Amino acid sequence: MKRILIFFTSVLLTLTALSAQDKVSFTASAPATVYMDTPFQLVYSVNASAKDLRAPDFQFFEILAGPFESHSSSYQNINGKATSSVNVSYTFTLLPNKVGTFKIPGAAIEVDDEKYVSNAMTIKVLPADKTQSQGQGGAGSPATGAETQRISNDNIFIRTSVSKTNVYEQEAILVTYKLYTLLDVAQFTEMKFPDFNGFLKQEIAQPKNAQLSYENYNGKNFGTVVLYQVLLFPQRTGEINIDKANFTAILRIQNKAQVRSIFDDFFDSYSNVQKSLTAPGARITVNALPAGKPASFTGAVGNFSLSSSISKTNLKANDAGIIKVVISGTGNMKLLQNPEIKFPEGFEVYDPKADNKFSTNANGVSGTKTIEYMFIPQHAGVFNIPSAELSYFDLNDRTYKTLRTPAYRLNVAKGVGGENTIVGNYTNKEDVTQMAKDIRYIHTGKIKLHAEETPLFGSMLFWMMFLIPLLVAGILFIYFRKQIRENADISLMKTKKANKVAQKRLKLAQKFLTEGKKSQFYEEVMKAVWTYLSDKLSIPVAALNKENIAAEMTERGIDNELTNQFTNILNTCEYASYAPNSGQQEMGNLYEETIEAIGKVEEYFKKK
Amino acid sequence: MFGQTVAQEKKSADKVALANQMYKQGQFTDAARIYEEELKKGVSAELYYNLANSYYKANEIGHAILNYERALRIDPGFDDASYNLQIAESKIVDNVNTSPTFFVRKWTNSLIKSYTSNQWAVISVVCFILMLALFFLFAFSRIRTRRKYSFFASVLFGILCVVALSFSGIRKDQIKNHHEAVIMMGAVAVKSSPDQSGTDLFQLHEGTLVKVKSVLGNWTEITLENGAVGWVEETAIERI
Repeated sequence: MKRILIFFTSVLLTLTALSAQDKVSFTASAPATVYMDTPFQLVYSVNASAKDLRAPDFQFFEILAGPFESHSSSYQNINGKATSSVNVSYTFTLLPNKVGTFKIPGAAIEVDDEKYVSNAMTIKVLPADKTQSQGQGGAGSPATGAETQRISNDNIFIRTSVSKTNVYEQEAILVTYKLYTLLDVAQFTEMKFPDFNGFLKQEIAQPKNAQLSYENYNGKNFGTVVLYQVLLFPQRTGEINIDKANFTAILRIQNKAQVRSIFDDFFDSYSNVQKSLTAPGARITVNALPAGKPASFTGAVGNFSLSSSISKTNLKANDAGIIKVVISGTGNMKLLQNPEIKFPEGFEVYDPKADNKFSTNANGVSGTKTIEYMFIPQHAGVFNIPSAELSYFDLNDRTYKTLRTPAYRLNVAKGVGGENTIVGNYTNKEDVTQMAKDIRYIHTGKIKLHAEETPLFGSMLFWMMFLIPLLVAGILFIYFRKQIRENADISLMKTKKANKVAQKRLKLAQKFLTEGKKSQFYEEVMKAVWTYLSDKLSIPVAALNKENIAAEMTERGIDNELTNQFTNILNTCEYASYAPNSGQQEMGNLYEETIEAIGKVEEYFKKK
Repeated sequence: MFGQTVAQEKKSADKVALANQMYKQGQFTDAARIYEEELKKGVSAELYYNLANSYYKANEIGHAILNYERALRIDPGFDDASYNLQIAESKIVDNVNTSPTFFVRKWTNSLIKSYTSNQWAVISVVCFILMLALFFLFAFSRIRTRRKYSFFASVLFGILCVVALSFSGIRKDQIKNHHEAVIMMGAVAVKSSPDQSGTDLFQLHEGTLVKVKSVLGNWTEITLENGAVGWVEETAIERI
């Protein structure tokens, strides 16, 4: 029982192992470069038992032999793990009969009733090497034969190729150093490239283990390899020279010993020979960029596109927002400056963060530059963020182009903590610091010499300046005093006579009262009061009214009651003139009242 | 005669321009010499200032301070001169400590020096006229409050007039008699008596400002701002 179990397990394992290699691969292989009139082999291989190979039409290649079919199969069992493989290969021997680059389409094959197509191939046919002796198939080693063994600058050299010699500022130039050799180069011990003054350089990485490719140059088929490739961006205008580059190579040369031992036939001996090589320089004409640069042009040359996005357009005060600007394209990406976004006032703006993803290849530096602008609005409101601009010089059109990001409109709502919680104010004001002290500079204007001024003090003129105003003041003082005294005399007289005049008028009024002449009576009383007050208080007749009288009386310290009494008398007189029905009794009262009031005023002034 | 003065003026202006050029090129001593020559013909605050600057640059602090003071004597409101004087004074060795009792004296002195004698005279005349005007207002106004205030103002202007008048007199005296002097020697010993055998009271250095009290032969009695009194030889000082 146990033995049966082991058997089944092993069968199962074998089956799984076999199914593992189910994936069929059908490939074609041939050298990439071949020489004219030199046969080579084209091999189709498939990792399964196949049938019915249909080779494509080889067109410019003559089939010398084939297809030869060969089978190989292997079966392995390592630690119980079995692997088996089958390999079938079909070999054609072809002879190129035309120089050029040709494409051989894929062949078709059938595996388990399923059709597979191999890869297509591109084969470069070089003209026959003039000096080369007809070798075996393919281009395995072109450096054979006595002729090619000679170390000369014809057999090994380095060429400098420059993609353009007449360029604009900042336009990329590709400089390639390529080795052409008929000899076996072991290694380079020294590679000294010029320092490319006047250029910004960007090296292009070369594959570590470069394969020799073949190229027909001056009638010879050289093995070639790119040693160094660099992109140059001119930084100034005018003629710029690229200096020569110096290399030192170690060549492996087969010894041709005079005495040949028996071993020499079996073991070729080689010796290393040092050879210095020089790659020629170049001369580049750099043209200035044409006039008419846009304001936002900062030196970008190439071909770019611009896009932007905003994290959110509705946000709260003190919330951070981000605008992302992506510049992609080809050109002098490394020199691109961040486009400026003019944020509104009251926005806290941080330094933009740039992220570069560039790749350098023979076409120039290309890639994307992502710039993030972080901002924090500090106040609520609606804000417009204007578009950012990127101007560049387009090398294809030879014109300046300006790209713009869209403008954004932000709705900022009030923040949670109110608007007072401003995070910080990062305006760095610097105090003006005095670094050193020195005297002020000399006076350079016109200088007028004059005699030393004589002091005014003590001079006649000086004392006159005091004396004259004093004299004027004295005269004026005396004059004013006199005037005032005269005025005072008149008013004093009037004041003294005031009572007499009033008494006279009142007597007349009493006469009218007894006669019953009402209107004359009132008029006379009124006149008596007016003239009395005018004289007593020294108020000119023109300025006589009740208000003035009241004001003057209060200023002179007469109490309000008396003032009111006078006002009442005057009022009564005025009304009575228009009201004829007042009786004898009232007129008598008024008369007495007037005499009493005047008496009181007289008494007041006497006391004073 | 008039043409002659014009020609002279032009010649003098050329010389000043030449000296200015020398100053610019750093030939301070030569520039100072020309300025000095020109100043023999007359005075000018600006010229004294330029001369002082030249001396300052030539590291002659005593002469620099002397000439800044002379420039300020003519034009007390010369801002550049007072600034440069301040800087030059910072290079003086002596630090005359002013005790509080002498502070008022120092302050009054600087107040007197802030205007020329004639400016003080004009101020006193203006104050006098204002005083008279206000007195009139007091004497003839019938409003009590106006009378009260005009009286006090009148008295105030009267006092100001007297003060300005006395300042004008003091300043005139200072200028005329050259009361102030600057120490011109690197270091000088101040003696207790006008004699070489007198006791050394203290030492003064170049650039220090002193006041001249009296002169006896070739000895001068000086006072400092802190009240110290002593005698120095006439050659050690130069009057402003």
